[in-house]
Amino acid sequence: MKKKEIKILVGIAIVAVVAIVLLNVFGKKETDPSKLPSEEAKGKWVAIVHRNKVEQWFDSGVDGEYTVTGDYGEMVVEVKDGKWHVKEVECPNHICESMGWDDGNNIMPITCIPNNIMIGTEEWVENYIENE
Amino acid sequence: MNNRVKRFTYLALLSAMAITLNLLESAMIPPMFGVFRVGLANIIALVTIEVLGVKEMIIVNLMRVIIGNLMSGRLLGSTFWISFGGVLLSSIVLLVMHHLKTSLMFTSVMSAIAHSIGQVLVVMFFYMTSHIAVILPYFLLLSIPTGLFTGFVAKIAAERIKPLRK
Repeated sequence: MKKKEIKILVGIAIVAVVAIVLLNVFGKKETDPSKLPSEEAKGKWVAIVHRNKVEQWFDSGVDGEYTVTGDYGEMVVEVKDGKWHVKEVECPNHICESMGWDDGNNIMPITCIPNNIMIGTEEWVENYIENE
Repeated sequence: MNNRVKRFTYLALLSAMAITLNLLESAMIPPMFGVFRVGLANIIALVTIEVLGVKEMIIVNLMRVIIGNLMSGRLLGSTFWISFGGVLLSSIVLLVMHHLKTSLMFTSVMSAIAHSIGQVLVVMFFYMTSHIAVILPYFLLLSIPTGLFTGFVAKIAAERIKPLRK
């Protein structure tokens, strides 16, 4: 690789890191606290969001299964050992199933495009979901 | 062997390799951080542009998306359009980089970045929201090591395939 190319790549990396820092510092939204769970969770509060609206809150510290209906069909979310994943979904892609288990540390919440459903933590809801 | 037949045979072989790598990666390698894939099939796009040329690279990329999605039963579904968006933008960048005669490793990284941007743009269109764009800086950062890796593999492969064509 040429020196100029290396410089461009370093530049891109710096821009990306700066963008990540700025997003984490300034990209947050004000959220109506009444829309968030008031009780203390054993694990983390996690929301199943359909069309930008929280359909179901669950505690990741409590094992269980939750079924929600999206634009395409039903989605079953399984919670176990502080993690959650899409167990079954009615959609043509099944990408959300292949995204595997999430414990809140993934860079993107579990997402199903055909159903317009996203599953993310309370922190994510606070920062990225416009509560109506 | 007739030069045209030889070229057509290479094109068929490279397309088959791209489709296989694409299917294998989605079936066997879980995405990083739940969403990001290395893009092994991009190795073949890079090898094709090095060994055969630009026109053939576009054919291989189109075959990879259309036949790959057809074989996994996702043709014309949202996944297909997301892949198509990624491949379209990465092919354009490959074309430009080839024209500018940049190194294969650099071309690979830029193509990986373009692939990610293309996919995010299509997802933004599907969702009708720009929120998903917050993932772009993470994709940019991850595209650099993965692009360097695919570029490195493509360089080794192209060096070995090129003499066979003579």
